[in-house]
Amino acid sequence: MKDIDMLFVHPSTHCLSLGSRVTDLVTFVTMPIGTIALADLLERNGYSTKIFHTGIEQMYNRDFQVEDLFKKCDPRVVGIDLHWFVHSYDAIRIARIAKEQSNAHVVLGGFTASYFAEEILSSFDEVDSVIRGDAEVPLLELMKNLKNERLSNVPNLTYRRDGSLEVSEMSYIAGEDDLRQLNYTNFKLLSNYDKYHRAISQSGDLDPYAWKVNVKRQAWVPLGRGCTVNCSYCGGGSMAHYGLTGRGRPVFHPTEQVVQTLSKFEEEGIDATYMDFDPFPDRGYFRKLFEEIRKEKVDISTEFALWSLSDRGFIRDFADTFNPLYSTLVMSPESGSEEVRRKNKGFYFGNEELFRWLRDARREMVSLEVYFASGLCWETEENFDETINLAKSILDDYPVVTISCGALVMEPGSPRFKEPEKFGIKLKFGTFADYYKHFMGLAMGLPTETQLGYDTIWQSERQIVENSIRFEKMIGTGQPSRWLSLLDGEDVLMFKKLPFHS
Amino acid sequence: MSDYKVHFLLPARLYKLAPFVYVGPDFRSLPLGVISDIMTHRGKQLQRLYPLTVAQVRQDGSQTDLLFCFTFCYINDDDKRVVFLTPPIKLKETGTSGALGMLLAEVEKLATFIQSSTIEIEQHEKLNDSISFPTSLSFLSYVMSSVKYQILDQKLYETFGYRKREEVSFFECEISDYSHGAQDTSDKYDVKNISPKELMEYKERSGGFSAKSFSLSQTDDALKPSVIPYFEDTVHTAWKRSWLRFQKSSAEGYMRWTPDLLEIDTPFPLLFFHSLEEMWFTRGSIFDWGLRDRDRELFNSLLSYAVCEMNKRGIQTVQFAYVGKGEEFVKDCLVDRGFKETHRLSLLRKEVG
Repeated sequence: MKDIDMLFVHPSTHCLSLGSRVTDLVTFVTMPIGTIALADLLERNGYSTKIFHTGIEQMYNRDFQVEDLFKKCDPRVVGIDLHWFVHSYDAIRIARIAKEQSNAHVVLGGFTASYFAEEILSSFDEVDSVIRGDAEVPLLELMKNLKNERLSNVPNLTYRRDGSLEVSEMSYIAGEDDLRQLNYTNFKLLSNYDKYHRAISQSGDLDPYAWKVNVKRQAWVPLGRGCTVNCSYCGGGSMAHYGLTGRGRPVFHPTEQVVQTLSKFEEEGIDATYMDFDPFPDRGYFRKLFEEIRKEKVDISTEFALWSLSDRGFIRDFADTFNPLYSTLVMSPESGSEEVRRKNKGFYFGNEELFRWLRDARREMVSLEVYFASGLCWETEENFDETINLAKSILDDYPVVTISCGALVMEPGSPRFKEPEKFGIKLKFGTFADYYKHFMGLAMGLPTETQLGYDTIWQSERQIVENSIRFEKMIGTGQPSRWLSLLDGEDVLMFKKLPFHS
Repeated sequence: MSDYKVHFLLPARLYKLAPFVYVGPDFRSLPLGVISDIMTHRGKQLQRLYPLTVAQVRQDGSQTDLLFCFTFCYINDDDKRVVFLTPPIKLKETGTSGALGMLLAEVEKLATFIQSSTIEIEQHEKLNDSISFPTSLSFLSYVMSSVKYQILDQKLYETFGYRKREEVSFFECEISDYSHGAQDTSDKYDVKNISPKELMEYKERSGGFSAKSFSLSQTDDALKPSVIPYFEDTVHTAWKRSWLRFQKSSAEGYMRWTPDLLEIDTPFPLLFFHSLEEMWFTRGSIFDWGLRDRDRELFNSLLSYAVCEMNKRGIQTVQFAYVGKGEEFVKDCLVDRGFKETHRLSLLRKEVG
């Protein structure tokens, strides 16, 4: 058995189905992007580390048990990411195993852990501490101070001492210089990293018997932290960031660092990146970044999630910069109703502006992913029809590679979680225990009391789920109507009129 | 060969080394890196597409992509399953015999798995740089002028048991060089445009053609020319003139052409089908054609009509595609009209199992 200073474990979410065929689906596969950078930071400071993604391990070895990790190594510290609430049950389950199998100090981090730090430590003895907010310096300090038990020296830490909870000052907020130091490309620290890059994609689940097959390797690119707006449903908005990390305004990774990361990705055979950090609609940062990527001739595709509409210049810049094979722009109008969109989204745009943007994307020959949501505040069954109608017209007339509508699950720390009455929400998820129980039910194949964690005063949870099912039936698997006519030979494409004929 | 691995991958890097357009199944999900097309044959469901990448594994476990080949399964006209390989493309300018051996071994395993006894490989011989869409018998057409590292060494394939079975030619002519002959104003044939539906019905009724464009399969829906959308006035049929007004007759032959989709800078032109109407094209290809009789007057009437229609739409360069080895008559007619052979494609075949 090998002694190791820190073992990072990513808790994949399980969804057990006890139907005619029992399936244990591993879902929400993507690991927080910072895990590799944290492990690399520790390595560079003399601590030995290793990262295991439990879903990937299980995917390639169906007999894999988390316990096996502790037969291979004896860690001083076990770090479990609990950024997204979907990992609430598995994070605690793994913490329990770590405690049973080793003498390691178990630390959690990430937004969900930060938000519920005190509840987690009060309820689950298997967790020793939670790092709140940015974790780089706190984790290094934890490694230094653990031996002499001076945890009060560790910033951003909530921990247990003599049976009571201690909360250290939130004094570390990563700035540009801190981000500059981080290396997100030390993939060798992650067990089966090549398989991980194959497995992550927007389509989600890990299933060795899947009928859909991924043919690209993808990695997420760190661009920055923070936000400038507060969408009603999002637990990562401006106020949430301020509350969880103390960050008042977004911070970017230096462009030269991002270009280096992309070059390394290309060298490692990564085909496509996912970029999802777009807090300023002027996008000056991206003009500079894209120019540098072109200058360095980095050949990679990118799936870019736009948080607001862009001008045509940005779309052209995007098309000129990235390999077109797997490059897409991602747009989430969320609702077809302008009123609902205005009341929920931080970056508002009208339908007319949206169609202007879609026309620009079509002219620049950029593929599009379009996402809607059901369960928005002020959404009714009637105005949800506007969502279906808008989606249909987008599917029919624009180069859409995927269009879908997911029912929103209640995110901890989002405006509507914190002020439910203001947003017409009747909460069913209010505590960490609620999330834990819900995902435990899914993992064990038990019926769960709630799927989304809320009703709205306009619609019941059931109606919200039915809306998204109705959307998928009508739009999600459909083809543009004109394309079907072209295939049937009932319609033909017209040639553009030559100038001398007009 | 233990230091090679074959992965189910379509590397983005391929697009820079060998730009292509893809018009096959899943063209809408492939930009997301997802394929799912299933074909059904004799009650069995099979995955159709197999993008294969051979990587070299280094001692530290890291890997480098060496070779790519787009592989798929189709049903031929004898109702047999065939594994088809587009030209293997080197992703690194290095020796490839080991990687090719690994690829072909994997393809043989695949053939066994799907109960196919035939493997075919498409090979291209560039006679000059000029070739319009479609450049392949498959639904993945490389921009042949830009392909950097195709493995052209036929002897290498022969060492793995592959033999040349077919040869398919592509001819080309600048419209300005096209020679119109006296026969173009034929007393014998009338040529007219027909709709896509009429063409589909005509092909079903025709009972076969004595001269026709080469294709891998007439029966597999995924390979039918109708997967490429029809443009207005691009399907022409020739009819025998009859002095009896009400005599029933049927067409003696047809030609269908498409503008050159390689002129669009995207791997997925069908995804942007709306945008095809906003473009001017300078090249076009007659890629689907059939003649009841090897009649020069019939051929010339159809060809001249097609060239004239193309000219009206701004096409300056005409290609005549998929001329099989035995079609000497068609080749002669084309050369007479000023066409030159610009590209040749070979089909190598191996029987396995």
